[in-house]
Amino acid sequence: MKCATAQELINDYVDGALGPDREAELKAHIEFCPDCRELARDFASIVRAARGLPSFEPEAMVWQRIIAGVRQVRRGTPAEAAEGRSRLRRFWGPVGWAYAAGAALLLLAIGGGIFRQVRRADAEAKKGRSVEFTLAKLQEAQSYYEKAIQALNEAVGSQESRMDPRLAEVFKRNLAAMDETIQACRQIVEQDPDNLTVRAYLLTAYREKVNFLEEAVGAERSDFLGGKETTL
Amino acid sequence: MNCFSLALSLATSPLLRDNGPQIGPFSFPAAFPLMTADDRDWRKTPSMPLFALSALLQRSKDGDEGAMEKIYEQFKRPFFNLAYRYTSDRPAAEDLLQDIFVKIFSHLGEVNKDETFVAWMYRIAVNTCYSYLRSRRGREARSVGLGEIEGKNEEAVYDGHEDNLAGPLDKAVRELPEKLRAVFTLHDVQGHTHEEIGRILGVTTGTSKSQLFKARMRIRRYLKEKGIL
Repeated sequence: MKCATAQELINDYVDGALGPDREAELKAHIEFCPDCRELARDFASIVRAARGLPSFEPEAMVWQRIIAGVRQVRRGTPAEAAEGRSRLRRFWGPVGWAYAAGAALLLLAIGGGIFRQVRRADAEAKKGRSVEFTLAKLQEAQSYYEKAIQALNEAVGSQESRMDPRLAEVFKRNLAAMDETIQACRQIVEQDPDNLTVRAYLLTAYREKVNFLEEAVGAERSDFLGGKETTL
Repeated sequence: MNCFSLALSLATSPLLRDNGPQIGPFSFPAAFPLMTADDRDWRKTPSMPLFALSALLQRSKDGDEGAMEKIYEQFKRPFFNLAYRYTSDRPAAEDLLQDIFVKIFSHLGEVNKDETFVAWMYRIAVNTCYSYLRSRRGREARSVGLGEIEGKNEEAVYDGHEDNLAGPLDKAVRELPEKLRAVFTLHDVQGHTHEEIGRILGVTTGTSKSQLFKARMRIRRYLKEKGIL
């Protein structure tokens, strides 16, 4: 038996999918082939370790976000629902009251993000890292976000003139809501700069704005090019 | 993974094997201690027969949110863990999970045969993960630096397990190309058969096998280079 054949058999062997005859052939080869013997051991180790990888559980609040999204799609137009577009992609679909629901979802996402950031900050604290370290990282991240937002704002601004006026209006309203959140967080941070929780709130608000702007730029570019997003 | 196998165990054309994969037979030479008794039944079967899943599917099609939530509860773990292998970031994986289930519950009318429902859901999950990777590549090209900061939060997951393969293996899996990652995760991590993977990914059983082989070889090379194997 050649090693190439043996390798294929080893792939089946570690899955217990080898018949007795082929197994006997493989055994005969492996007995005298150290390379294939090593491969068999390594594959077995990989397979066993893969089965032991930890399994994670999503946060309970995810279901609330899902059902809110499902309700939004149900209230939307049948054509829109049939297209199966992603949450933010739908935001750029036909205008109407669905935008209000989209904005609500966005705020919900911000709320969820804030919660997660707080949890992360807490986790960092529990790991024994210093408050100073965490503050420094938050400051660093905030700086990156501010730069990213500035760059994205310029990109969106260059496209805004081509945007449907109704879309532009909804877009501005959403941005205003996010800016309001950021402004409120910044005021509290200025009053209490060592408050990790509020810092985390601010960071999350920045992050959501970056995501929103990135999606806006991406959606505009995609629409402009006539591209279709297929996910099913 | 779990509800996958029992959910379909009563189906006329079951998608899953009965006892889960095994790591070689007991009779292999002592030089290959590949298998223990625990390995034989590593994938414990879940608890939802097809008729129950069919009933939930029908109620969900009628807009019953309670039925949708039960479907979500059954499948949230395998889909979330699949998403996590693509995002390496818990909040992002939760966002993906949200997208996956919104798509599922918004397109239930497309499910004509109940026995294909599970594979159909998995297909949506995998495709959503692919889309995420592609859009992330675009975002990373536009905004340098953000990912580096946020990604550090996920590195500590395996801090307490450096003496085994779990942490390095998880990193090796994240290095795989998207399709190899899907096959490896579905087969070796979640326990799907090649037939099931073929239905989920729309490939032949042979393709699934060869992709799994490639994935394992790449992982092996990664772990060798790191001095772990």
